[in-house]
Amino acid sequence: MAVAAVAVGALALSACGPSDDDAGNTGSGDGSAAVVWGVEGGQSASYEAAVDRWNEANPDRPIELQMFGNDGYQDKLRIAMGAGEGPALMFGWGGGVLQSYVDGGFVDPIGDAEITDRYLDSVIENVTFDGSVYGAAINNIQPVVVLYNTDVFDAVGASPPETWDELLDLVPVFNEAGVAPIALAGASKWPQLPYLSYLVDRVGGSEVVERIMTGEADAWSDPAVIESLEMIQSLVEAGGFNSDYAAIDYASGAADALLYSGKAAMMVVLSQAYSNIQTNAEQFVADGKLGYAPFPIVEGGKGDPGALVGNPSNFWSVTSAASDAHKETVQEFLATEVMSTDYMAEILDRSAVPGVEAAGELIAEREDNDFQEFVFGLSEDAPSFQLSWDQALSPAQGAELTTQLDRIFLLEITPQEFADAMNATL
Amino acid sequence: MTTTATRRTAGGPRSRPSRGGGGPSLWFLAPAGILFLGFAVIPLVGAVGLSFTRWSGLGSPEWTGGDNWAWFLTDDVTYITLQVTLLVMVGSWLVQTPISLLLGTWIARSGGFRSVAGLVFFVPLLLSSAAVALAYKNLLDPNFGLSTETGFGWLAHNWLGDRNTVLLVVILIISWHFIPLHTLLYQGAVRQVPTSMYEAASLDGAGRVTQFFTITIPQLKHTIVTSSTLMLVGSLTYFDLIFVMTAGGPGYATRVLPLHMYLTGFRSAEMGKASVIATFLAVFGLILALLLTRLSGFTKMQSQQEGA
Repeated sequence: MAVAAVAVGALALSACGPSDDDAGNTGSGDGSAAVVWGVEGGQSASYEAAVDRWNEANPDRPIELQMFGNDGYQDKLRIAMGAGEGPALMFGWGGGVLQSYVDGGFVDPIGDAEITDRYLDSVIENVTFDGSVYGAAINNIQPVVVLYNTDVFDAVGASPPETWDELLDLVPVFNEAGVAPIALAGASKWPQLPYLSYLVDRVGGSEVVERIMTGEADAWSDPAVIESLEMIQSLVEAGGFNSDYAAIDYASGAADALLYSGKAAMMVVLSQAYSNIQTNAEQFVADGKLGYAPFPIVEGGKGDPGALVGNPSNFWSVTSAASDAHKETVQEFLATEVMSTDYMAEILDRSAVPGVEAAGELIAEREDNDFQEFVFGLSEDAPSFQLSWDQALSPAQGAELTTQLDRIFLLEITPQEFADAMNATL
Repeated sequence: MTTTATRRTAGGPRSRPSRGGGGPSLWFLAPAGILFLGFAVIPLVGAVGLSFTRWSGLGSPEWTGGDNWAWFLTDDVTYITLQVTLLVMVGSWLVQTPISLLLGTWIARSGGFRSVAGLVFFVPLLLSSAAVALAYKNLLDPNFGLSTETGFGWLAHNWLGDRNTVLLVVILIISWHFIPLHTLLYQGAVRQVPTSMYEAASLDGAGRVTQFFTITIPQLKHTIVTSSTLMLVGSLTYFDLIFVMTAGGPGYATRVLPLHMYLTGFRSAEMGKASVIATFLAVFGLILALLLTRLSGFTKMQSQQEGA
């Protein structure tokens, strides 16, 4: 009963709804700090540096940065926003989840074109609703790519797979060599998503994806979805993943470690993992042992092989409940400190790529820029850059998707059962 | 009820209550009552109300009648999670009761070594569930955990990723965490058993084992009921440890009802459906607690020391 009471207490709290007055943590020009929420990740240090620079230059209008872990952040945000206790700038991924905040009147559009015009189209598209932009990109573009250990590939004399069939052919080769073909952090569930979103796009083309995103009836039982799920299950059955993937969560760094310690050959992962591995295994990356390639194409598929899946960026959105003074402070902060030349340089220093048009030139000027050119090139040329589906869909569909896809990977359900369960959410 | 209480107080501290057998004033209930009303009854009523609506946590709830209840009763996942919850409940009772009963009895006897051991056994209870969950998750990690150290190779198994072992592992870790509490309960209770009973039994020629089963266990009846109630009803609230360790996975293998409620409410943003689960949990917990006290005759409160 205690749990019930606690949960219900939270519900009762959040029932207060948003408020336009200056209640909660938002003051008005009284010198109180504008609160900014961020999520730990590869570029956290840049948020901190930007806020420090701002506070030094504007001691009378301070900004307070509060950082959270990735898992559970969204739950916290929803409760806080619903209770009118949210920050002035909220961290988010764009897509359907941000749209639910926009629809509820919790987020203000960013009116300043100086902020919004500098981003790549494929990036800003994910925070544009009804022609207004509701977020400023604050970190790097993160397409899902294949990272691989060149030592492991050399040992078996293989080259990175360009097609899905080549990938399947490599599975027994690595298994015989005692190496897991692909490292997967299955306990976190979201690392399983790119397989489905890439394959559906590659096999069925962007129209199928579009039907899923707009929630058309029976969109999930499209033959392309069923075929993609079958492809995933054959990869699992063939032993494509580390045998213990269901127990590994991404935040622990175990999947990354499998790759750089040579226990796994490849990983299909957000490009951010490159920076993470660089932090944890500096020498490994410096020696050029971390290879990268685009997600394999599917021969005979209808989709554009250049289509990308991933996180176009993370965004800061201005919340409606913040006081006018705080809104002004954070908009100016976004315009002057975020994606300034210094800010971009820091991101580039971590082998990441900001989703800003001007980044192309900055990358060209750098040494050791191969991975960055690769990522920027992929994103610039991409006909589409699909946001991870758990974020692009509504929360209810996203949660059901991660659960049901997990069961597909565990071979607990058939593709048809998956499609039925997902169609039921439409 | 309130008027009686007021009259008693008004009558001065020395006046005896006219009815109720001379127990303490009902005002003694006030602090607990207010807390219970504010943090249990009112939210529960709110949850029952919300259970008839559709609400994402943002904006205003929308009345949907019995839809959520129909969903709860017909959804397969409900029965899967109910089954997992019952397994955790029964499993943790079966593991914890004998161990804590024996440990408690053992520690209850005096002796320097035993009190030191008692302190050591107590340590797990001082750790937060999240810390316990994280520690075990890392220890059990198949690639970088304890099994990679020499001498622990036998531990190499995908404990938390294997549907067949994950529930057992979770039950054992929950037990590891809570056995100290129940040991403490039993230790206290064993010390209350009059030594004269054991002396009499010794004179009659009863050995240690016979004494344990004919004196200690019957004397601990109330404690067994209390401890079992705590364990069984407590199982309905196991959330943090499982959430941190497995998040309910793989698949639905460790998705207990409280976790199902959380994921429904805060992951899927279906507060109405989550409220149905919350209401069910609260009612289920109450019925369980009532049944346990009824069945065990705890309410009659008769003495267990006849013949002492």
